[in-house]
Amino acid sequence: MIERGDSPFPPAKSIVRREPYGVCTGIVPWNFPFLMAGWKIAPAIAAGNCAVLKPASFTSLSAIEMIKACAEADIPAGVVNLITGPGGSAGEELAQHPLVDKVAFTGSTEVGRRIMQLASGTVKKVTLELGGKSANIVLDDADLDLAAAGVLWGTFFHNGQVCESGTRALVSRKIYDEFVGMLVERAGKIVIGDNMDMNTDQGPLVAPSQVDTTERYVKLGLDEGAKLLCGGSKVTDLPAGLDPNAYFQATIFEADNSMKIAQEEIFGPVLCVIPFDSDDEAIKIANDSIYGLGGGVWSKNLERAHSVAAAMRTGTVWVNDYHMITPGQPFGGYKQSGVGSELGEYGYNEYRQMKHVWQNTATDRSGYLHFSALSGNI
Amino acid sequence: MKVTGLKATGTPSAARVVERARRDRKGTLVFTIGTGCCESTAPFLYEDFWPGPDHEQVGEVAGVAVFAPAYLRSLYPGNDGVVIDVDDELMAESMSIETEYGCRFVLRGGEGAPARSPAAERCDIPEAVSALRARGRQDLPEALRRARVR
Repeated sequence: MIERGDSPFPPAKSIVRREPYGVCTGIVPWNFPFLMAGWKIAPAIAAGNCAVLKPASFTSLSAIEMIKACAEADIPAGVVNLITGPGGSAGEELAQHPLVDKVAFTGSTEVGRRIMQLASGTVKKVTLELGGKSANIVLDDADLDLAAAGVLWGTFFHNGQVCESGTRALVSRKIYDEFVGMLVERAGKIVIGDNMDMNTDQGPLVAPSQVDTTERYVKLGLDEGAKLLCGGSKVTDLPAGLDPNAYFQATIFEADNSMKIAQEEIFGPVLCVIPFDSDDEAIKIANDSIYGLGGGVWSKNLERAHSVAAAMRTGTVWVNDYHMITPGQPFGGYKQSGVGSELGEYGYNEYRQMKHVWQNTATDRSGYLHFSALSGNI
Repeated sequence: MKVTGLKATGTPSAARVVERARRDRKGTLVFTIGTGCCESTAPFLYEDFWPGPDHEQVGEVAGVAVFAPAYLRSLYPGNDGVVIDVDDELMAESMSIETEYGCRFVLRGGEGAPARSPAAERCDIPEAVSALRARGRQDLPEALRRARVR
């Protein structure tokens, strides 16, 4: 793509070319393996790069199918490539290898930090989409029915195994008792079971170890004095054939924002409810996190909601909704939630570097005023 | 060694994996406890890692220093103890060295007496896996490792 513009010194012209980087690596996590692979491969090859995909170690199969589909679509051999294997070898090599020009990563903040370090050896372009501990703010004038559904959806969708999950529900004290009562009552009705059954709301976590992690944080929360409102343990009444070590109840704590369960990303079905007295206090609590990935505001007063949204230091804010991501708009994080954006023209441009071409069409020195700085001998 | 707030130790199983990594890697090994996304809060073992400006050492495992950032240390006041253990269930998209051995360092404790996983004692890393690792990065031709297309 070429953008033309006038130079300040006609008849010279300025041209900006958007060019591919070359080889772009995408390292993607296990929570949305197919989607994340698409987010990395599509803009890379659309911009004229070659892509190398490294899926998470135990979600490689969908990536393999995607590569097969690329071949069936007659994408030339070598344009889309797949490397499977553990992050400790395959991931590290891709992040630092001199033949790789750009690294795009979705995953933990600590690995993102490591990728930046490895990529710095050859000054690679890096985009990172990392962790979050997003706040879903319920103002006193919210539609409580919708907000309750939105807070539960924002937290328990995919068992909370989503970077931008709204795992901190900040609730106005004016409506606190009524609203939290609605949350607890509805959370108790969440149907847990086979995730392929459309009559269930919540399926298994990715692995028993993720259940162990969630259990550990429930203990941490209780030890710190958080009040367990519902859930808090594995599921005991599962249908026959389902592994009880793979499921965890939708869990709601009343917590303080300084607690571990309110600051550390659990990546399990745990919601922290935190009361506030004013919009300013809600904003302060929401921003009291190392992360800045997502967030929500629930209010019938859109001007008020947008005022709160503008003050939240996050890459995405949903007003009266949650988790809605559109391919046309950017998705990325503030603070330690990431670098750069994905999706839309903004994400596309992360895969294109700019070259400025200055073209002078003058045929004598009158068109080269800057040469007047030279001595008459040159 | 400066230790503030959070205090980290390791299980014998974790120490064994560290020793294996020490044999495989030429650089300096460093643990960093980090957080976020699919890893939750977990220990990461890296080679030649640069701790950030707010990282401080909070312990060591088999002679390998453990670092943690300030915000995490502040969540564990009063020398709350956490234990670096190892689980044989390969987890998440970590770049931590031990993922090559089919296991993953995990964090236990912090909520009182450290829990122990039965898996911790099962994670005896086969030497064959270690040999596979040694055949990886180090055996890339030097010319390819240094190649740069521009």
